[in-house]
Amino acid sequence: MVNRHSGILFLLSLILISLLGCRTADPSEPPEFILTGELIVDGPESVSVGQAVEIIVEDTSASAPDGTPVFLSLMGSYGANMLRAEFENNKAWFYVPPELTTRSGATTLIATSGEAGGKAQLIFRPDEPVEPITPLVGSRSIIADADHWAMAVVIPFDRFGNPIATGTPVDIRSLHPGNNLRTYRPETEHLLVWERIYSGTKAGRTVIAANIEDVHGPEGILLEIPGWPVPYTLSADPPNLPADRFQLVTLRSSIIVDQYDNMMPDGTQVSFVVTGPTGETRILPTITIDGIAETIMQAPRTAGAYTIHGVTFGIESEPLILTFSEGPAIEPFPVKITIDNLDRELDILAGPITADLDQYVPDGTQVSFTINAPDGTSIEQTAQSDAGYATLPLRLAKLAAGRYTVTVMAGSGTGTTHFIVPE
Amino acid sequence: MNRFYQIQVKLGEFVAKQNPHLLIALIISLAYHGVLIPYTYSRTYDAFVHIFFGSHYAQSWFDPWSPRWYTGFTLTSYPPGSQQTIALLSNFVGLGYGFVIAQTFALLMCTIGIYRFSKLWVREEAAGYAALLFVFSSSITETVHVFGQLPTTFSLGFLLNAIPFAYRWMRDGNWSILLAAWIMNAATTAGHHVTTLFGAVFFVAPVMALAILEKLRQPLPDEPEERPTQVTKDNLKPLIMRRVRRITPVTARTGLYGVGMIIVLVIVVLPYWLWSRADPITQISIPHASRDSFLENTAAGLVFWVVPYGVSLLILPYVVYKGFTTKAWPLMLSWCLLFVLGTGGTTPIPRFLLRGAFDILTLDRFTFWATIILLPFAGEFVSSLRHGRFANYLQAQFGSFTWRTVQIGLVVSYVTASVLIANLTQFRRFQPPPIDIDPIVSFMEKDQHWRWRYLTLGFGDQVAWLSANMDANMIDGNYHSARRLPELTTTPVERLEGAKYSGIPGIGSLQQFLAVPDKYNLKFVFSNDPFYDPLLYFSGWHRLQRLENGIMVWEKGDIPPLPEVLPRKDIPNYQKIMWGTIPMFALFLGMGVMTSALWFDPLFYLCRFLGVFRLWGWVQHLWLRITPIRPVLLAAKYWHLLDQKLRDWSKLSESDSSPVVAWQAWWEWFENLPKPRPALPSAHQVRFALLLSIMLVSAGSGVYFYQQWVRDPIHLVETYYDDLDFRRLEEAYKRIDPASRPSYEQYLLELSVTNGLVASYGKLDSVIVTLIEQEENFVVVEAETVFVTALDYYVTTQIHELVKRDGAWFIMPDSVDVTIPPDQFYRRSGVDWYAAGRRRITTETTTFGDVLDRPEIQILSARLVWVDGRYSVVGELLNTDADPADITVAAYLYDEEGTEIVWYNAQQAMIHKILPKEVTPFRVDFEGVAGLTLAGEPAPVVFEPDAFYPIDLETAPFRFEVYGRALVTPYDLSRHVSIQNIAIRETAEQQFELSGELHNTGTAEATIPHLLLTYYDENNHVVWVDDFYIENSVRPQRTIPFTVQLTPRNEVETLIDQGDAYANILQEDVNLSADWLERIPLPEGSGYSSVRLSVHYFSGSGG
Repeated sequence: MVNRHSGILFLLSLILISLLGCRTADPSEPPEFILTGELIVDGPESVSVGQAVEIIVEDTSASAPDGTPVFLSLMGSYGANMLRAEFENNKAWFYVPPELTTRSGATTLIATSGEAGGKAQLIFRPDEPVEPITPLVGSRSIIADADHWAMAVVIPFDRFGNPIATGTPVDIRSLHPGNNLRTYRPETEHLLVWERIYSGTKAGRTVIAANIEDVHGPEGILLEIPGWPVPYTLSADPPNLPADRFQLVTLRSSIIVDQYDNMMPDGTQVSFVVTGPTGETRILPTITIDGIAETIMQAPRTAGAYTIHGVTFGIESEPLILTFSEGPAIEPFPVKITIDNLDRELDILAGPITADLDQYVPDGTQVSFTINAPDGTSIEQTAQSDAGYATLPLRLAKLAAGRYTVTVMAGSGTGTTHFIVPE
Repeated sequence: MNRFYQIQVKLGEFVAKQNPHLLIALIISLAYHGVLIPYTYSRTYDAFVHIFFGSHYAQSWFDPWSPRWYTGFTLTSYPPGSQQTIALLSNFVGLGYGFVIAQTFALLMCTIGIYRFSKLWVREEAAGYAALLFVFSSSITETVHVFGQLPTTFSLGFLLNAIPFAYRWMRDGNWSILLAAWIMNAATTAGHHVTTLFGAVFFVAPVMALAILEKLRQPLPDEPEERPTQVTKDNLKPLIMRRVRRITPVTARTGLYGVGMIIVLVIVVLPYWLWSRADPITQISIPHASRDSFLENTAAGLVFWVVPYGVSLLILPYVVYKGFTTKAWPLMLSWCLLFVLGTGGTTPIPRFLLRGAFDILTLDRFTFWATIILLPFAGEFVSSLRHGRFANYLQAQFGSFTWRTVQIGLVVSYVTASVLIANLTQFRRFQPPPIDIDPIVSFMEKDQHWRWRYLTLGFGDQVAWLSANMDANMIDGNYHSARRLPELTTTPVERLEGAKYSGIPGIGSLQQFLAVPDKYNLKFVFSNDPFYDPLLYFSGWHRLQRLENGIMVWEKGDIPPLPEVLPRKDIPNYQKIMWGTIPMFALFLGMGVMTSALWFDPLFYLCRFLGVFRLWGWVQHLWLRITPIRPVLLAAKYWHLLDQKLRDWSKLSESDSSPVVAWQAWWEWFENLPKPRPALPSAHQVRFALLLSIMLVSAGSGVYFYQQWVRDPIHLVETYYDDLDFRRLEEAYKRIDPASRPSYEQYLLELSVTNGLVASYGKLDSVIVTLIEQEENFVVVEAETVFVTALDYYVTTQIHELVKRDGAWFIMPDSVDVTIPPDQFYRRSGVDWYAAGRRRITTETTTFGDVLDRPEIQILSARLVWVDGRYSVVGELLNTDADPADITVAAYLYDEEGTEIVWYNAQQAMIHKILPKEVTPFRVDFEGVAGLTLAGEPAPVVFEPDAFYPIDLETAPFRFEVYGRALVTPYDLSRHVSIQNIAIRETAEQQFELSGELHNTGTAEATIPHLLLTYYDENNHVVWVDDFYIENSVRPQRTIPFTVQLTPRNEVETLIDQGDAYANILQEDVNLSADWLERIPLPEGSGYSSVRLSVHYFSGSGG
């Protein structure tokens, strides 16, 4: 909207300036009186904020005619205000209204009239503190080891938002976990008070409050959290499984605590590091819930003893040794050959491949086929078992004439057969 | 009643005086385009951009600075006429209908204009047909309903109407007509300066030539009557002088008009010219398909050449013939030039003619103008086909039936083409489906979200509509000429939001903006395209919420809000006033000129009644009395002297005269060619049958060759991948062997469990199919597919067996994973976090109590390294706090004098959201501006997500600093993927390879696993950090294998071993030298002491 009317305003301004420029001075007016010399600015040295103040400016030369204008500037740290009065019997009275005295601190009073001037200083004292007295706490979480600390800071204000007077005592109380109450009584300095709040050794929530006599405020919160964990133990369920690369083991830690027996907070990261018999490694990340870290581990393909540690950066648990037995298939299984003349394919069918209870090995178990050709070369391929059987198709057109030997393996179970490709 | 009858009679007389074709054209134009535009404009390319500009003028008419796009830009970069018209209309009908009315008005102006323009070159009847043809012109239809260009049509309407005025001035010298011409030029410029500029060359110059040539041929009334047959030495000079005398006045008028037109062009949009001079467009040109070779990029040829010409391509021979054999040959020359320029990069001629401008201009504009210039001749063709020589020829040689069939066929084709093109955006969407912007507007308005910038992804041109309805600022925009950030101007990225479609050189500007969003106060991303999800996630952004309209809001924590006062590039007030007044004033004057027939007579009588003319006469009289010099009279005096001189020089001896002889000998020869005699009725039938046969045989041959091509096994596999890419799953299923394929439901099920970066977030870039084995009914092919994702390229190779059944090839189904999870139903406990704050429901700004504490983090180590031509700072960071942390790591490089050289954030090579006590590696890759190579040349315009643009440092870094910042976060903290069977082996090339398996222990799919490798030296200091994306997802309780190459140690050069690391921890909690079992020892030959693997993942389902 402003932009829409800016053109009109611009034109009106031009017309106004032109009209003002047309005004000429009246030659009949007498020359203006200009006061010189020093002015005395008289008033109180200090007052409380929000009070009206009376200032008197006196012309030391006593030459100012009545009605001569005097200006009084109040230069504070928040800006300047200017008042106007006129000399009457060489004195000018200024009334500074309460709305101009709401900011505490030093204010310089500068009186000017013509070329005469004078200066004085007026201190506005802050008023009494008002609510709320708010304690600000940071860091808001520290380790509960009696070594870490947080800072509680309070900035009390008066009713105009001015910081209160230096040296005002402030009562600070902190209620730590375990009903441990501590009190502090610092004094305001540089506009505020501050106090170091040291942690205890019990993790939990610390409530911090501050007041100045009957002036109160809301609480501040400090969380005292557990420190780094100390070594703990691990367990596995079930403790023994076949190395079928299928079944799952649950790994669980004991309750993980810090040096003061504070339980690790939920969500703390823990890794289970597993080292196998042939040196292969596993890293299983998880988090703590109720102080316990838990994850699942898939059974390996290779049987043997596996060492497991729970790890949080440099902190390790006691090791856990877990042994996996041979699997998934143990017994020999049959292998058959079928020929699909329509699609010119030869299929090697292994199965049923069974596990320790004579049930099918789990679907998807990797079955390896080794085919020794008549020329001495061998082909190695894998297939997945599906409902206890694994099939490997071969293109007849790619097989040279002669006798082929087939060896199939699934875990420690094997099967063999042979077939002849005619000339 | 009597008065009403009189009005009716007068109206009837007025209508009777008009060209009936023009009247019909205007009515159809209003009915056809006026009805269609409200439905089509929202799917066009440009409509919303002009609406956005209109919204700005509606808000701040006199302030051309808009902070809403980019980091602020000035609207003086585009002539405002059409957009200010939208702004004016928006006060009554809203922005959308403001555009509709402005566009309809422009088309009506163009219809009248093409009629008036055509009358200069062809007969009245043909001009009427030209107006009719204009309404259904495929180029106009495409421009309006597909491209949504308003300024082009808006200014064209004024230009076409300006030209007849210009012609009449040049011919007759009427000063009021000259004024009208200039006013219309001013209105043209207000709409679009380029139309005035190029219109002067392609539209006005032929008219100038026409006016001069007409005068050249036309003897003056007082010219000597002698007409010599032969040009001799004696009569050469008089003959030349005679013609010079004929054309001198018209040439002078032409020059005066031209000069005035240039002045108008400069004054009307003066702030634009001043802006373009002060802030010239120094940006890498945006690739535009209109500059491609249409033979190579046939899609571009279709859109920018075939569609605009449309059915008129059939009559091009007639047009050329008619153009060069009539007085319209200057216009035909202009058309030829436009025709050639409109072919883009098909021939080298446009580049040769346009030089540097070739890479700036969009050349489809030339084709558009060519189709407009073609219309008068097309009108002439219609006239000839209806009852002219062409009609006679067709009737005589092919019979009336053929003649009528051709007429009906052409009319039906012409109108059908127009209707189809107008609805092209319905059949083939160029824009995403319409987005309800209200939830986004509401989101940005609440909680002071407007204090940050935002970015949209996958919105298409609707981004402009969103901006038009919102005051919040975005980092992107939809008007690339106004881009100011070097990250944008030095790249050929038209819009960040459509980054995946057009050329992003290298990892792209988008990735840079997402990597250092704090630099641009970019906090929110509204994503309408999951393609970008992985990039956002792994750049440290998290999903905040899904809005009611389905748009996902992504947020980045720890971004400073915009300053209260944004920088702006201001222009002087006089320019603002000019920009707000002159173009609109020119448009109103132009409308006044166009409607002068309505108001001129009443105004004339009113002025006479008020005595204005008497007053003017008095002023003139006074002027003549007080001025000693009378320039007009003086000029007239000198002109008379010159004319007399020329007349004297034109005199010939009386004996040197002979009858006029036609000099076009070839014309006589052409006229004497034997004319075909009318054919018999039986011949008509034969010829018709022959024509029909040729058409049918051509169509049949095309179908046959197409089928042969489709049945090829290699093409079959290519098509199969194409079907999968575009989710045409039923078509893909039909290509699987019917004898062995699973049921369709099973096939869909198997596809649905195939997920991951490539399958769900990849776009098939290319597929190369090679034949490996071949039997009679069985082939084996290898398909090498290249998928492009927002993160990286993925090249995969698949072997397919194909069998031939009943003469058709089919793909054998792939074997499927038959593994089953061990648990049927299982449970996993977890931890949830929620930042409730301590805030009451209030509109006030965030209070201290609501601010969450920053988690304490410790930077364990950091070093500056040089790898593969790039500077990187690598290191490790630990969250020592009890709360999860959202981490931002920034590294700064300084020279020897302590001057900051560059800073950058760690982007993808770290885990941004980490749990309490979790460690993440980080790698800060200092990147230059994407698209700018070290030589300062623009990089190839292709999408290369894996490319990197190393920064060009003038001085070597002397020291570096790393800053870690953290916020509490409840997002993206799932850690349910474990790494198992980790093994390291040395390859034959003395490289080290790390293999393993990822196993998902959780309940949600890990859609895109991200593997980070941290390499250590013997002091446990980080030497290098690698990161890899695993292309397949890991379903719950499933396992997938992976193999990655370790970066050779000799490729990592340590420049500075330890820099200054700053985080918020006061006393360090952990000792770096402590043993840590997660560090896996590496063989001595690797050069590293140990390596640590960490994995996190993006889950498509959230979490």
